[in-house]
Amino acid sequence: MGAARAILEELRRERALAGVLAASIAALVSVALLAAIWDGPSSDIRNYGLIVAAIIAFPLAIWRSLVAHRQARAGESQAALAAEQARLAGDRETAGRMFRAAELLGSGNPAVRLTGVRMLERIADDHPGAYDDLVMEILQVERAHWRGDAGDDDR
Amino acid sequence: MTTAESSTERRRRLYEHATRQAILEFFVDPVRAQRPTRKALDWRGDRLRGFDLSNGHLVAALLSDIDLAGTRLDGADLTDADLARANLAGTSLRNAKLVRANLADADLTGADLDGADLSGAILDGARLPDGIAAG
Repeated sequence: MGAARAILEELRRERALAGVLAASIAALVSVALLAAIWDGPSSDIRNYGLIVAAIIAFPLAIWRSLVAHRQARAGESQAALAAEQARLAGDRETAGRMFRAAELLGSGNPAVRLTGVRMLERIADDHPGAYDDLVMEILQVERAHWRGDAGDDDR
Repeated sequence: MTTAESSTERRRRLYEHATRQAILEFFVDPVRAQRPTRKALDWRGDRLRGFDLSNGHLVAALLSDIDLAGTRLDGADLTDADLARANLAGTSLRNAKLVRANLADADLTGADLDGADLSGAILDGARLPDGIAAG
């Protein structure tokens, strides 16, 4: 949430600065129009125009570079936020699958239990290292159920 | 009716076996065994008859007193495994690696050890298949 608010704040500031830029452009256009109707020596107009342009352009150039820097930062935080959201969504999805698999393992029907085992295998293989321990533990419990059974020699 | 019942029961048994086999395969799978989180197996005293653990990764596994009678362990890697007092009667151990495995007092009668590597294995008190002598 904090990151989202920072991005919104950033956008609001951008809008205000865009207003300043529009006003500056309007001032330059006004100077150009004034030059068109001025009947004095044109070099004076050009010089005044250049001075006005320089006065406006210098802070604008600084502002523009600051904006670019801020936009890059905002982009980075947005990307980090998106990555975090994707990770959380993935975790939720995996937790759901794990829960479902554990439910299937608790079934009295061996065919359903087999599906649960296959699901757990898939989870462990989809996230090598991350869920392997957990899956092993669940399967260890399942195996402990029939530990000491007659085995399958009575098939 | 009786036939239908026995057929259902048979199917149930088959699925039960497939479930257990799948679980065991997960533990001995050679690819999964390479994951850093993996620890050596501890199946001491278990009864795992009639399963197929061929090409399984059972390196340094703790399998003392285990009952593996009739199990297929062809090509399995049992290097440094502890199989002391294990029941391996009738087990198929073709091309299995039993390097430095502890087979002390294990029952290997009727086991197929064709091509098995028993170098450095401890065979004190082990009952070996006919035609094979310890040492």
